[in-house]
Amino acid sequence: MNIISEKQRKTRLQDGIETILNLSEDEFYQVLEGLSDVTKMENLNFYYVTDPCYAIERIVKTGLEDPMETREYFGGKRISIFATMLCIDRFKDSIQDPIKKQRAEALLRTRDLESFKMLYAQGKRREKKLLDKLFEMLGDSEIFEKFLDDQHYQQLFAIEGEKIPREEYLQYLGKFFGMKKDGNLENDNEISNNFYIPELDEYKERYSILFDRINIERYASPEYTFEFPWFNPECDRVIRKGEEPEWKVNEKLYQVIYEKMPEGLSLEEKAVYIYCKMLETFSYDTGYCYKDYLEDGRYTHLFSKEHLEGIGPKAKITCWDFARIFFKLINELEGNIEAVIISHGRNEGHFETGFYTDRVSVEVEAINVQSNGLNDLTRAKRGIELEGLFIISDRENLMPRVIQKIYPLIFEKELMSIEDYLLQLRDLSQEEIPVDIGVKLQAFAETMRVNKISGNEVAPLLKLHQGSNFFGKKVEFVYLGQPQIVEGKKTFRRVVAIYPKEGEEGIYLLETDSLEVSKAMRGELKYKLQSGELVYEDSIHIIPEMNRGENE
Amino acid sequence: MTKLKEIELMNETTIAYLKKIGVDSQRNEIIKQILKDEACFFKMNREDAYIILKDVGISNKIEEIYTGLISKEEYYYLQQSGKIHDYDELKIKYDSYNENELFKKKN
Repeated sequence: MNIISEKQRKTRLQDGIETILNLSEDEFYQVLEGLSDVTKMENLNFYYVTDPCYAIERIVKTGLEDPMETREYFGGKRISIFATMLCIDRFKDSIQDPIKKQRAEALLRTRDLESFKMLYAQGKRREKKLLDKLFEMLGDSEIFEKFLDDQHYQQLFAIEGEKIPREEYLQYLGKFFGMKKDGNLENDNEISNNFYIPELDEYKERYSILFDRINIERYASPEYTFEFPWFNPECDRVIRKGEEPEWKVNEKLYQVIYEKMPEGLSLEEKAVYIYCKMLETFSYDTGYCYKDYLEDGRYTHLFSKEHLEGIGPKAKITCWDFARIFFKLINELEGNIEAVIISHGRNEGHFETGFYTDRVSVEVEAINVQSNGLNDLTRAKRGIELEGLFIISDRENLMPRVIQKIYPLIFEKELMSIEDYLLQLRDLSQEEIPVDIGVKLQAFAETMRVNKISGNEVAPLLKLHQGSNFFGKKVEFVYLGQPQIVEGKKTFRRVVAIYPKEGEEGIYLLETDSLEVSKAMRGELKYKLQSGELVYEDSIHIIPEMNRGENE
Repeated sequence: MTKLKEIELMNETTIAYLKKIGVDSQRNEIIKQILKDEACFFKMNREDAYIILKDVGISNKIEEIYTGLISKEEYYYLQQSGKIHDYDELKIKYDSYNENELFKKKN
């Protein structure tokens, strides 16, 4: 609703409020009605007659502008309902005119706590009573303490004899007050901007305490339940319990997963146990890479109960299979745990999964590779740290401990941490290793070959080895060029000459393209340099004392 | 190529060298496992890091190489690529990137 004031007397907001208080009866009630309808959440916009606008030819009218005759103003600062009502609240006591004073109070009632509760109660008596109790709790320190002690005081928060689980209150609280970022609550939300509740700071303070003590993230953060804001609705989706047809996990697979599961595991431990058992038994179906050559539609993404129920132990699986089996097994667990399937990309290119409890929310990626080109299917079998469990929320830092506990139960070996390896290292004696330049160079060339590094890429690595005295303390490196004809044209390939400053007469040569290592006596090398069989790369870095060994 | 990858290659060369001269390479095999964790140098103290670098074959410019391995840039790269998590037990940490601190108005 646009409120047009004649001219600037005080601030834009104060002038606008003054204009409202001076509206005709009809127009004032239109404003009240517009603000009171919280389902529409209308805002008040304050302009002056002289503000820049598009339809300047239209007739100017001060007061409440007819939306059909708006002049479409641009620029100007947006003022929240909270700021507007705060201003009204501050100066209402100074209003002398009793009618204007009544109007001010009426305006404040349109967006007060009661109207906020009415919005969320949606006409339901039970919901309204619940919200009454919720805000009563936030406004009273004694009741608040009892709310924290859920075990002993749950009956205090019952509604008309009906026990209400604390989660129901937490869901509303999370929705109303949101998340903390860097220790501070969000202020850009509905209750803060679109309503005026004088006690709001007090409520937020108690909510903040609650947030630190209880995991409200589950209710305050959409990502916790895998409602990712970055999802592209055209090609990403989350499949939840009940959204796909029912099917049964293969009996043999079920047995393999559960036969050795210990008693007394927490929900998070069970989920990781199931994950690890699946990693142990399954391997990736590389046939999927050639699906376009198959005519039978084996790798279609259409749901197939028959296919899923046929997946037994040691089967080869795709991401589609893994996600559905994990999803099924987790959702069958008793307790407050839920799994989802996450589908990414056009034509449902990739599937992963995730699960959440009251304590953690974890995205699960078993198939896509992580660091060092390994996925969890491979990592688990090699005893390498799993990297497919991505933490969305874990306030208690529970998951590392869960993985440390569960992993050895399945793979019969501990998942070694850095500290474990360091302990092993400290136990072994450190000996002085003799340096043989030639053998070291051979080993270097071998490593380059294995890692497919050759030519110019070798040079920086060689420089690193040289700088760190890898080949010994007093070892010189000189870069030489060896002429050759390639495709009928003359070019050079690089050869590195490596030799100790003192002692040995021989000079090692590493040809960087082929990674061949050879040894030449100084005389031989001198001859090659003089004949042009080898050339120096520059005139500064040369092999000195080439007279030595001349007569060899 | 990352700095850590370079150290991995040096360690591989050392393992190959030790095998060629018939010396036990168990220390370097353990180091090979450690180096698989891209954040490994942030999870150990300086003393252990120096021992590893020496075992890898570095006897010069150790401090310079070590500083490069635990630099802020390296830390942020690992953080942003999800290789360092809030729950990791890190011996070396830097403050998280705080965009609110970036453009403060001068008083």
